[in-house]
Formats: sequence, structure tokens, C-alpha cells
Amino acid sequence: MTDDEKIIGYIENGIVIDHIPQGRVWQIVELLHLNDPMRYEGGIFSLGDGYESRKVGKKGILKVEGVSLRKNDIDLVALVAKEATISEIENGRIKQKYDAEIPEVLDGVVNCPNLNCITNDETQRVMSKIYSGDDLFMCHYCRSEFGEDKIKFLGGK
Amino acid sequence: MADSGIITKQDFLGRDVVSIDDFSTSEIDYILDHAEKVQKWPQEFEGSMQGKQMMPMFFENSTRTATSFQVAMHNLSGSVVDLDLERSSIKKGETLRDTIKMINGYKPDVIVIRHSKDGSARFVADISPIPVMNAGDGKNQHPTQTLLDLYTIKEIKGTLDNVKIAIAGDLKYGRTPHSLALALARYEGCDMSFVSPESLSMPKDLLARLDKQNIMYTESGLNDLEEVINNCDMVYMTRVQRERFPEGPEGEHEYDRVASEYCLKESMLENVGARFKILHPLPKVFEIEDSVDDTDYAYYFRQAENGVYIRMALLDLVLGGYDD
Ligand SMILES: [Zn+2]
Repeated sequence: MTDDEKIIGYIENGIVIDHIPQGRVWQIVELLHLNDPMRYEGGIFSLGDGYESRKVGKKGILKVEGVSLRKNDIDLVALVAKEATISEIENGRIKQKYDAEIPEVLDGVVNCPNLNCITNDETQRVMSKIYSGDDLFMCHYCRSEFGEDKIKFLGGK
Repeated sequence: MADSGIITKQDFLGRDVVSIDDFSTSEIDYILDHAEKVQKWPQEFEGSMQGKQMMPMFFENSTRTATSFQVAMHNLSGSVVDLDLERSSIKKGETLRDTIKMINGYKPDVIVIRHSKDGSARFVADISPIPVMNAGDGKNQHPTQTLLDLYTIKEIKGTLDNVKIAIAGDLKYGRTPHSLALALARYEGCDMSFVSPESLSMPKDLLARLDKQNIMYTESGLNDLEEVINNCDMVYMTRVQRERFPEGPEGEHEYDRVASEYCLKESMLENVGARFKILHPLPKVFEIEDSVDDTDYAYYFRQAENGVYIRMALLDLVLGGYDD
């Protein structure tokens, strides 16, 4: 058992998201909707922030138990924490460990920054669809290209 | 869209025409060649849309584009549903998704859409099993305009390579100049001169794309228009609109200044080449002196006419008229 596990608790089955830059743990909780009781009834998440890390300076850790997250959803973590590592835990052991990678297609996650885009017309209720490229993101509908700095998550965060 | 292999008519069957970017350069060339056939031998295409129906959905007014599509369909013996969205209840409150699903139920053969929101045409194409033609979605794309511009330039110059063109007017917000510049950049040796008021110059990201492709271009102010066109094969004039300037007296003043400065006068054409031509997507307001219309340099009415051939060609290709 590592120090981190001692601090925020051992889990039997679930995922551990490590190396989250300090201050961004809650952003990930919200991005994955872990605090939405309707979606993740019965799930438990525990988090800690401010640990020393050689990789990212100070870091946060998030542990999620009792909910099943799809790989595509977990990968969204990379949008706010590129350096994050994901460990899948099964029966108390690490089953798989990988780096979060931004999914190629983001459906209904990120807003298109073009205010005249059909996806920003609330009356139309068209879900955003954004492609992630090497340096830029691109809206499927209006083809606006934009950098990381313009990312706005749906719901305005 | 690999630019390889031989393009055939079959490659266009059932396709949407949402953006010029959806077509490879060889495909664009094929469309232009097809439009030339349509123009030269209209009788060969006369019945190609027999029994086929077009559903025009103009959520935004654009009489000339709508008319051009209608004439194109009629020339091919197809029919056009008379749907006036301005006066119908469709426009009020119903989502685009619901409208398109309902329209699909009427089983037209092609939907032509014009809408004020960027990306609306792509959205409609995604949800509609029937082919969709974009007649302008906000400030995003107007592919039949870009194609007719290319067709017209090719008609004037005989080729799309080594075109020396001045593009003038509102280059910041204008959808037409953006699409045209990027389309011409696909061809060899293009040399573009952008002429605009400083506040309406080409967007930086577009210039960066041209730089990346090593495209030659210059930027100049409205005062240099006469000098610039003396060294060009043609000039593409576009409108400058009042709403592009800030509200209030200062914006009004700036607009008035531009409006008085930005005009291609007959006297400015003294030193242009003998085969020089003037293009304009129309409608024009004050940017071309009326007397220019009667000179051999004016080509914009011919350009508008070419829009019909391009739309006829696209209908024939997408809806599968006769085989060649
Ligand atoms: Zn968009």
C-alpha cells in the first residue's frame, strides 16, 4: 500500500485517477458527473489534493468505486489533466494502468466557441460534436477550429 | 478524400453538397467540366430531373440563390415544391430536426437549405437520408457560390492555374472571399491581392493557412485598388455592409468614409489588361460605378448566369441523371 492509498482509502473495485494537477480534482468530478446522484447512484468517490509529486509538482488523486465508467468517458480526464494516469482496480489489485488520452470525438462535452454555431442555438437543441486533433479542436458542424485555451465545458464551466 | 484515381459520375450519386472542403480538387474539376457540358449542350440534359422534386428550405431570405436553384431544376425538367417558410408556421418554434424529419416524409429527391446558423447545413445533412445542398449556412459555407466563382474564373482565364486576382471589400467577415481564396489556393501558382479597409482585412488564421501552403498574396488598402488591379487578370469585388461597423455615430462615420472611398470607377480601368474582368457575387450597392456595367470588363451578370449551370451540373451528378 502506498502513502496515497493510506490517506484516501483503499478500494476493492474501481478506478484511481492519479497525477491530477493540484486544484483540478473537482473539475474532473464534475466532468465525469460523479457528483450527480441520478447518474451514479450508490457510487463512492474519495479525493485528495496537494500531495507532493515528482511528475506534476503538487497533485490530486481521485478514487471511484462502485460505478462503471466507459473508457471513452474516463479519457475525458485528459481534457483537464493531460498528465493524469488511470489505474483500473479489480479485487484490490491494479488490473490495468494507462495515461488518459483525449478522445478523437467529443460528443456533448465541449462547447463550440463560435456563438453563431447551430450547437449554440438553444432552441435547436443540437448536441455539440467536436473533433480533437494534434494541436486544435474542430467543430463538426461549423468547422471552427480552436485551441485548448478556448475550451468551455457544456454547462459553462 | 484521396486525390487519386479516376473520378466518375457515380462518385457523386447521393452525396450532400455541404462544403467545398468535402470535395477533392479532382472532384471540383469534374464538377466544373460537367457544368461546361451542361452549358454547351443543354438539350442533352433537358429531361434529366424528370419526375424528381426539389424541396427548397430558405429559413433566410435569398431570392437570387433560391431562384437560381429553381431555374436549374426546371431546366432539367424537375419540379420544385413551392414552400414559403417566411409565411408558413414551420419557422415558428419548431426545431430544425423536427422540420427536416417531417420534410423527409414528403419524399423529395433533394433538399436545398439556407439558414442563418453556421453548421446548420451539416446538421441537416447528418439527419436527412435525402441529399442536401447547402445554399448558405450563416457565415460558414456557400459551396455553389464558390463553385460558380471557380467556374467563372476558369471561363475567363481558361485555367485555374496561375490566376492573378484581386479580392476586394469586406474580407474579414465575408464568407465568399474566404471560400474563394482557399479554393484558389488548391491550384498552381495562384497570386492573390487582398484589398480592404484596414478594419476589414483577411483574418489572421486564414492568412496563416495560405502561408502554410506557400501561396503568394499581398494586402493593401482601398486607396491602392487602381494600382493593384493593373497587375491582375481580374478583380473580385464584394459588398461592405453597414452592420460590420460599430453602432452609433463613430461607426456611422467610419462606414460613410469607407463607402465613399470604396468604389471601382470606370476611370480606374484605363490601364488594366485588355482581357481584364470584374466579378461580384451580387447584389452590389455602391462599390462599382454604374457606368462600369456597360464596359467589356463587367462580368458579374455572366457570373450569376453561371450559377445556374453549376447548380444544374450538381443536381444532375447528385441525383443521377443520364449517363454520359
Ligand atoms: Zn460549431
